[in-house]
Order: sequence, then structure tokens, then C-alpha cells
Amino acid sequence: MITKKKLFQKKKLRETGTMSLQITSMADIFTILLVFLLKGIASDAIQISPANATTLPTGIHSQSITETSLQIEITKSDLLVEKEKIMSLDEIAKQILKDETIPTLTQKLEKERERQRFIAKTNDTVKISNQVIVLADQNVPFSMIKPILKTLAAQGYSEVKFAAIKE
Amino acid sequence: MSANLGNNSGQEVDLNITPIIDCFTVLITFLLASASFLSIGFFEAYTPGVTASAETLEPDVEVILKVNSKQIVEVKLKGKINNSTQFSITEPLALEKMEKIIEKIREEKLTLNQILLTAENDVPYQNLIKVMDTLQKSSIPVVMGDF
Repeated sequence: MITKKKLFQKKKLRETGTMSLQITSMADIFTILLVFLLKGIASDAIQISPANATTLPTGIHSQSITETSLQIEITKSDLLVEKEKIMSLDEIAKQILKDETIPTLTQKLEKERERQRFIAKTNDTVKISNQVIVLADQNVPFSMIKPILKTLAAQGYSEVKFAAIKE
Repeated sequence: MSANLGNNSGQEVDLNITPIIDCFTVLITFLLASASFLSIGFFEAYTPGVTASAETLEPDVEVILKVNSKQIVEVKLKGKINNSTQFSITEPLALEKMEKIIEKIREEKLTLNQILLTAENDVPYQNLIKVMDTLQKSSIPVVMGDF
């Protein structure tokens, strides 16, 4: 039974424009969302996200990795090292030397190696890695991958991890 | 939230949205639980000229896989076994047969240090990954390059 006093209070609230908002249910929703978001982040030990234009190939038996390393991305049009565009794929075709290496990539890899050496000097826990992660678009032809692999080999990067979406 | 039922009655009905929000909370939970999140996996390969050391013995069999633009993998065996077989990438059963060839080499206790994987220039990366996906089960190091 609504008393006259309560009706008066409601009328007064309406007149003043104040409104009580029930946040309990909304807090419930956001708690659940937060839990799932945190779970999604925790499941992947290493965060690797390809550029928007890159469609990674799919694979059933792909394995997860525990440590991160130098990331090389081959999109439909560009070559990126650590998310930084260094050249376009058209330029690769023009630049390939007789030994099938790419000078611009060689320079960038040398700089990365120097950076790794500098970090390794100052921090004993960091070791110079010969691993590299390659994120390539599924439609990139082998003619583009081959010179990149040769350049990596020439710079001492022997272990290549090819990224694929787990099916 | 309230609604006015007619001008004459003067009665106000409060709409309780709490149970509606509760229903949506449960729905969101189930939707998120059933959703499949994309996860990235990796296929390991080596660049040429690094896997074999001076101490490594000459393998009994050398396996070279070459993917061509017609979506066919040519498996060449050299050494104690010499033959060449072709499989289509588009047929999953064909790739299983390819896997069996490698298993057979291991069953016969012939040494196989590595599998050499190469392709024609216009072969898309996806096709190479399909072959690597099949080879992953054998746990033999894959060397990718130009052979």
C-alpha cells in the first residue's frame, strides 16, 4: 500500500529531476564480462596480433609457444618487422640480390641483432635468440617467402615459427 | 521507470527491470561460454644449412617435398629408398598417405634427419602450411627453402 508520504516523495523526486539507478544487475554483467576478458588474455601466453589486412592460414596441429621473439609480418602488400613497415612486396622483387637476400631486411635484422646484444650485455637473463616468428598472409606466394627465409638464414635466424590460426 | 495508465485514473505502474537484466546476464554468460575465441598456433621450420652439424651422420633416406602450382606435392625419396610419389593437397586422404610414407621410413629404422620442403614460386603460403600441418605429427625437423 503506497502511503501519501511515499507518493509525495516520488512526486518531489520527479520535480527535482533526480532518479535512483539500480546498478547491482549492471555490476553483475560487467563482472562476468571482465572474467571472460581476463580469461581470454590469460589463455594466450604471448600476445600476437597480425595487421588487419593479414589473413593467417589455418592449421590443426599447430603448437603454442612460450617465449616471444622477433616478429616478421608479410601482409598482402608490405613487409613489417616488429610492426614497423620496412618495404612493400613490390620493392622486394626489385631489391633481391644474386644470393636471393634482401638488403633492406638485412639492415633491419642487423639493427635488431645489435639491440639484442645490447640488452643481453646489460641483462644476464636475456639471451640472443635465433628464433623468429613469421606471420604471413595465406595468399602470399612462395616467391616472397623464399628471399625472406634466405635473408633470415644469412643473419643467423635459424628457427622460424610460422603462425597459423588453430582450427 | 514508470508508465502512466490514462489521464483519468492517476495510477502509476513501475516497471521492474531487474529480472530482465538478470535474464540478459545469464544469456551473456552462456553466449560467452559457447563462443570460440581465435587462437594462434605455430609450425616450426628451419632455414637451410643450420640443422646438420659436422657430427651428424649421413641419413639413410633424404626426403624432399615440392609443392607445385597445381596443388600437388611431389615426395622424392633419395638414398636407400629411391622413388617419387605425387599427392593432391586438396584431398585430406592423400596427405594422410604422404604421412604414412614418412612413418614407413621410420618403421624400417632408416635414419631420416630432416624433411626438405620447397615450392614453386607462385604457390600460396596456405598450401605450404597444409603440408607442414601434416608433417607436424612426424616430429621430424622441417627445413624450408629452395632445394
